[in-house]
Amino acid sequence: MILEIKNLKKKFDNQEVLKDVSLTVDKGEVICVLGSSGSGKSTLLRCINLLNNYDDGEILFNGKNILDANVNELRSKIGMVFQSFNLFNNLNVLKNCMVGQTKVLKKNKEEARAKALETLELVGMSDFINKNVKQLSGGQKQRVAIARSLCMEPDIILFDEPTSALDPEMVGEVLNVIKKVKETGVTMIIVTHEMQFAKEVSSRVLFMNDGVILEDSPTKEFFTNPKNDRTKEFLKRYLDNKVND
Amino acid sequence: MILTGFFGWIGRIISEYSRQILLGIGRTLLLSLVGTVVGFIIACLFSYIKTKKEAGIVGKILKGFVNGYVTIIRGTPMMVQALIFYYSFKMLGVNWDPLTAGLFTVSVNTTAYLTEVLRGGIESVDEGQYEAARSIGMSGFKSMLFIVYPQAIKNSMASIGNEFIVNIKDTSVLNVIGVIEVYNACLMAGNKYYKVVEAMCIAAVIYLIMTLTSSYLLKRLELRIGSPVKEITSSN
Repeated sequence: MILEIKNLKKKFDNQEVLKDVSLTVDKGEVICVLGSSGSGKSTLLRCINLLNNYDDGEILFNGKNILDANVNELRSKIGMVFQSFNLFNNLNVLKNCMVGQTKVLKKNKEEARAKALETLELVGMSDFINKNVKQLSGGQKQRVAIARSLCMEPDIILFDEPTSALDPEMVGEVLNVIKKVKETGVTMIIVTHEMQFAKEVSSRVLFMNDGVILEDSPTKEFFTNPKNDRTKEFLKRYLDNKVND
Repeated sequence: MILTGFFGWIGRIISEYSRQILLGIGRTLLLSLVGTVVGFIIACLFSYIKTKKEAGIVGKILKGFVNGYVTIIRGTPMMVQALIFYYSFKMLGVNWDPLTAGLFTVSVNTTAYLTEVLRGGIESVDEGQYEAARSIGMSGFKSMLFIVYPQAIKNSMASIGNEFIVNIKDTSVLNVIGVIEVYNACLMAGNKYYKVVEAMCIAAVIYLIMTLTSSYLLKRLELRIGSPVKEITSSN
C-alpha cells in the first residue's frame, strides 16, 4: 500500500469540499477519479501533495503521515500534472525537465540531461528540446509537463484534469502518452472527464459526488454494474451523449 | 547679437569649466548606476519579503519593516532624505564625503521604488509557475529564485530601466549636500559670470544626451533579455 487516506475532511471557508474521504492505493495501480465539477476531485489530489492543507483526517504515504514528512522531499516523490500545464516559462523544454533534478535531487547536469532526454523521448518530444515553451501547442506542453514530472522518478503521479484545457484534437496525443507512462509501472491517480480513456487505462475507478466517494470499484465493474444510483445516472448521461454523437 | 552673445558665453563656460563638467557627468553616471544596481539588489530581497505568503512571526515583522520603509521613502523628497542622512550620520560620527552620502541616499531611494516595481513583476507571474515549482519539491525560496524572479525581472525590465533614467535627472537634487554632479558643476560655472540661463542650457543638453543614450541602450538590453518569441495566439 503506497497511499492511505483516512477520513479526510476539508472546508473552504464554510463550504465542505471533502466530507470524510477514505481511500487506499496500492503500488502500480492506475486509478481514475470521475465525477462532476465541484465534487472535490481536484482538492483531493491537491491534499495528497499538500498543495492544499486539510482540516481533519490523515494521509499516509508509504506508511508515514505526510504531515510529519519534509514537505519538499514528499513532493519530489509525488508528481503532479496540472490542467493548465504550468511549464516554467523562463526555461526551454529540456531545462524544464532538468531543473527539478539539479535543484531538488542534486543530480549533476549530465545525469539530469540524460534522464530528461530519456523521458522526453518517452513522451515523443525529443525534437523540441531546445524550444521555448511558449512555442509549443497545448498538447505538446502537457506532454513536456508529464516528462518533467517523470524526471523526478516519483512513486506516484497525480493528474489533475490533464486534458481539460486542450483542443479536442490534442486530447488523444496526451492520453496516449499517459498510457505509455502506465507501462513504466508508476502508480497514477487521474482526475478526468474522459470516460473512454478511464475505461481503457485504469484498473479502478472512483466516482466522487459532493465531497464523498460514492463508488470505488474495479473499472470493469464500474462501467457494467455500478452499485450507486447517482453513478448509474452519471453513466447513463455519458452513454446517452455518446449515442447522440 | 543676442545669439552670438548667448553662444559665446556657452562656449566660454564649456571651455573654462570643461574639467568640472566632465567630472560632474562622471559623478551623475556613478550615482545613477550605483544607485540603480544597489537599489535593485536590495529590492530583490525586499520584494521577496513583501510577497512571501507563508510568513511566520519574523516574516511578518520584516514585512512590516519593508512596508514602512517603502511608504516613508516614497512619500518624502530625495532632497530632504539627502540632508537628513548626510547630517544625521555626521552627528553620529560618520565622517563621510558628500559623494558617499549621495550614493547612499540614491540607493536607499531607488530600493523603495524598485521594491514596488518588483512586487508588481512578481504578481504578474502566473501563480501556477510557483505552484508547479513547489510541486516538484523546490522550496519556496528556490521556486522564487529559479522560476519566479527570472520572469518577474524580465517583466519589470522597462520599469527598472526607467528608474535608472529618472535617477540620472533626480540626482541633481544631491547638490544640497554639496555633490558636484552635472547640475551643480554647470551652476557653479554659470554663477561666476551671472549667466545662469546659458549654464542651465548646457546642463539640459547634457542630461538629454545622457537620458537618450541610456534609453537607447536599455531598449537594446531589454530586447536581448526579453528574446522576443512569437507566442502562438491560441493557448492550445
